Amino acid sequence: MSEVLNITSLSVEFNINGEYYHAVNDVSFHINAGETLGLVGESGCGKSVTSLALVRLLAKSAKISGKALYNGRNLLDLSLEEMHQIRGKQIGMIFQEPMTSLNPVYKIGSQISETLRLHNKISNDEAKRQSLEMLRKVGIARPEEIMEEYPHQLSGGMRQRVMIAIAMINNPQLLIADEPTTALDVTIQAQILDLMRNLSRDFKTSLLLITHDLGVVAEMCDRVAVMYAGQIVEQGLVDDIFFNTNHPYTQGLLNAIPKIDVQNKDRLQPIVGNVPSLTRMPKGCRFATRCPHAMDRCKMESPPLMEIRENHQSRCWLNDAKVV
Amino acid sequence: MIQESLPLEASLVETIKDERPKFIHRFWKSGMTKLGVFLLLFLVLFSYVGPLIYRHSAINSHLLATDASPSAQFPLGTDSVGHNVLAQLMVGGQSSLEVGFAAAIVAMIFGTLYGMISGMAGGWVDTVMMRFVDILLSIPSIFILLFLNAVFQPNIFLMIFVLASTAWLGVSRLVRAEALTIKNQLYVEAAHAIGTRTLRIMVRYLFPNIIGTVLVASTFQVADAILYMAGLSFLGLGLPPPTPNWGGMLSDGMNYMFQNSWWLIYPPGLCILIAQVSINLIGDGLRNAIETRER
Repeated sequence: MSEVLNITSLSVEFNINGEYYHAVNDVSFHINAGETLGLVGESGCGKSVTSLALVRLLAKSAKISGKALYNGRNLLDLSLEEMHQIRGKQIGMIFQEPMTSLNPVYKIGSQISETLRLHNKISNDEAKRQSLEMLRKVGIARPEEIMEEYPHQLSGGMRQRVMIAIAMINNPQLLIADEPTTALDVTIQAQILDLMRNLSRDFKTSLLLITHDLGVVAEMCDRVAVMYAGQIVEQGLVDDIFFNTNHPYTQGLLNAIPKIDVQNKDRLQPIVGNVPSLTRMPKGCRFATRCPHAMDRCKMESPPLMEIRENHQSRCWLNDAKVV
Repeated sequence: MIQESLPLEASLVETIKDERPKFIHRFWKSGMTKLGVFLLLFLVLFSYVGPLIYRHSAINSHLLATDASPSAQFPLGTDSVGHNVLAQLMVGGQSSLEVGFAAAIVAMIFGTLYGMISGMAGGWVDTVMMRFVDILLSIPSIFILLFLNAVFQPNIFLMIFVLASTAWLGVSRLVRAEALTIKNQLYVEAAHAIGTRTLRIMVRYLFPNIIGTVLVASTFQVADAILYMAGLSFLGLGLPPPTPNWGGMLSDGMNYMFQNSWWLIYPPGLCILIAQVSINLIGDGLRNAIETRER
């Protein structure tokens, strides 16, 4: 399978009080055509920054290094004009907040057609016809009427469907969805995920799904990259991540999921502590302060991402001990 | 096919009905707003239709009837050189209203452009542009206006630009503040994400979301401009004679206070007051109607 996106040692640094700090540190992953990659981690671990960095939507003050190859072209080297042509045409984006992602002063129809007409030389009528069809595809009933309505007249779920329609209308090869269901209630979440899965299958779109919800990952993804404090700590096929969990952080995330079928009424096991702040990253393993298995070595040396089986990497010294 | 596999949001298919009354209804429901509109309408009719009905020259001097108190021939009396006060009041309203509205519109256009560019550009461009505004704002505007009017012999067009030269400052600050808020809204980020260019974002995303605020501010600018023009004329630096205007009439009348010529003071004063009150009431109504807009 061909790679749609290949990111190599992507780093993002932000300027805080005159000094640069890594928000994303040496992140590498790839997405194959038609594949769904889940980027998982708790708040502030650099998931969104990674996605914004690769479409170059971060503030100019952010320092980005590394490579982000999209179909062989490095997105980080392209001119602004070339980026304009890629965004929305080849890479679609869906954001977390459907309530505020639409321009409040234009009708839905006009906002969907706008995306079409920005990238294609087509007539108004043709844009309208395609928009209507897209609205139907994202499962909106009465699309003719919705076309004529304003964002505030729609519910959150419908707005997110509209956002998906906007992101998908140019048939992009890659769709970046940044916590697309976080702001929605559970029943709508399931519908939206279903919709995204069906659309990406039918349009053969690769999906980069950013989420903190492992349930979503289990349902949607082929592969998973777990991020912690700006680094990828574990990466692998979804089955390996769930059933052959290697990194203590991933294990911690899995333990922190509420389960309805536990026999003993154990309390939920949270991961104690917080993500270290950007300005005070420990010099050893970044998870060491919160890790139940932390050894002396962890506090001193930062572990590299180690291949523990085919297509499964983990950043933990415990694996080194096993090998030796 | 996808359509079949998708559960439609059956319960949500009924969209939220737009039960919010239309803008014009929200604007019109307040009694004070109605009062403002009627007062302004009265002034407009008085100034433009009035002279067509009350056909007396505002410029001719009735030298045999100077300083006449109100009578059947001169409903509001005459001034010291025999000008018909009522006729002057009507014609004077024209220049006040024209200059007031035109100055506000010029200020609105320039201030909006300036503020949008400053807010959108950010960084040092923003800093330089806004410090320039700060510098101009730190000088009392009446001083700038007096200076400009003393240097140029003002005609009606010059007057518009002179008044606009200070009025745009406030607008530009307001617009910049709004632009800063809106450019960080998620829908603007989403616009970037679909490949929208900066100019288009300004036209399609910033401007329509700012225009409400600008419109309200500009309404108050109309009132300010009328007041400033009256003030300048009162100080003798307004439009040159023989064109009558309210501030100038007030100024002339002041000289004859000692002889109790109340008809020279109250009518122009009242006209200025009505203009201020009516426009401010309309501005309040507009603001209330726009601000209740669902976001």
